Amino acid sequence: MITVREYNIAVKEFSRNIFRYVFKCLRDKEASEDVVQNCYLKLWEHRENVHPGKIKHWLFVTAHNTMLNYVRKNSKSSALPPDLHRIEPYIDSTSQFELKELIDQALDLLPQIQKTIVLLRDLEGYDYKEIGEILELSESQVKVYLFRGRQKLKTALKEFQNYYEKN
Amino acid sequence: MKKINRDNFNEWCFEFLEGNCTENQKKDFLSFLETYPEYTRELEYWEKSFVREPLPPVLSIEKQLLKNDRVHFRYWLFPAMLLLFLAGVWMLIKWQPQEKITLSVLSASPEKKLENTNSGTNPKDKITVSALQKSRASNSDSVKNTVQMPEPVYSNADSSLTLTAAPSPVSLQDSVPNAEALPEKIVLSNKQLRKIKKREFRLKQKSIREKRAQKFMKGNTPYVVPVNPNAF
Repeated sequence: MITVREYNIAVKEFSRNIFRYVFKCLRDKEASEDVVQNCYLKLWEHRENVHPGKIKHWLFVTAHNTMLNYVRKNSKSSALPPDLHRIEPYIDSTSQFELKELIDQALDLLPQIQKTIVLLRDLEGYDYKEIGEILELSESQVKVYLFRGRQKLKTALKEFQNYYEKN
Repeated sequence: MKKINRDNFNEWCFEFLEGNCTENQKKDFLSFLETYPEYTRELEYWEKSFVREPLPPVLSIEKQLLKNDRVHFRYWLFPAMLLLFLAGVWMLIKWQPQEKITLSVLSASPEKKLENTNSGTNPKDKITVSALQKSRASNSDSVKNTVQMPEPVYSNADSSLTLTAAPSPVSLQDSVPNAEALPEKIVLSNKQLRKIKKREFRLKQKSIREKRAQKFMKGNTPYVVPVNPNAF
C-alpha cells in the first residue's frame, strides 16, 4: 500500500528517470510525457497492490510495457530502419560532430529489446538480474542481448569514425 | 572465460568494461593490450558505446502528477461530528442523575425505603431511610402517638417535583438526619407552579370561609343533619 506521501516522493525522484528512459526510446517528447503520465496514473490506481520498496521497479516495468504498446500502435506510421548497415551518419559541415547524436541514431537502429537493456543498464545502473525481472528474461539472456547491443553500437561508431576520417 | 586472444577480444572488452573480470583477468587483458597496441583503439570504441545522458530538468507535468497531501475536509468532518455527539452524550449522562432524583417518603410504612430510582448507575445516590424512620420514631412523640396521618408524598417525574398530599406536621428537615443528601434545588414546571398556587388560593379561601363561619356562629357548633338517617 502506497500513501500519498510515498507517491509524491516517487514522482519527484523517478519521473525524470522514466522520462529519460522513455524519451531515449521514442524520441518524442509529448509521447514520452504521455507514457510517464500513464505510468503514474496506473501507479495511483494500483497503489494498494504495490510495495513501497519496489515503486521504481514497478514504474519501469509499467513504462516499458506502456512504451511497447505505444510503439505497436504507431509502428505502421513510423517504421524503424531494420538494418544497421543502412547507417548513413548525418554530417553537417557547419556543426561539430557530436558523439551523443550518433549514439542516439545508432540506438534507434537496435532492436527494441537490446535498446531497452542498454538503456536500463547505462542510464539506471540496473544489474542483469533486475533488468531480467523488468523484462521477464533470465540473467544470461540479458547478458547476451547487452553484448549484442553494445557490439552493434561499437560497430556503428567505428564505421562512422572511418567515414568521417575518409571525408 | 577462455584465455584472451584475437578472436575473443570483443568479449573480453565487454566483460572488462562491465566490471565482470577478476583481478587476474584484468591483468591478462591489460598485458594483451600492451602486447597488441592496435587493439587499444577497439577498446576506445567499446568505451564510447556506453550511453551517458544527464537527467532532464524538472518536468512540466510533475505538478500535474503530484497529489495533495492534505487530508480532505470530508475525511475529518464525520469523525469530528461523531466526537462532538459522543461528548454531548457524555455530558448528558454526567449531569442527568442530579436532576432526575425520585424521592418518595412514606412515613406510614416504616419498612419502605427512600431510594433514588436512577441509583442503578451510581450506588452513592441510594439513600436508605430505615435510620430515618427510627430517628423519627424516637425524636417525634407527636408522630409516635398520633393516628397515622396523611404524609407528604414527593414524587419527581420528568425531572420535577410535585406535591401530591397535604402538608405534614412533621417537616422533612426535622425528621431526616441526612437530608443534606437530598437535592437543594427543586425545579418546578409552570404547570406545577400553577397547581400549587391554585391549591394555596383554595386553602386561603377555605380558611377565610371558616373564620367567617366561626365568627357567625360565635363559637357554637352547628347541628348537622346526618346524611344517613339509619345511623341515629
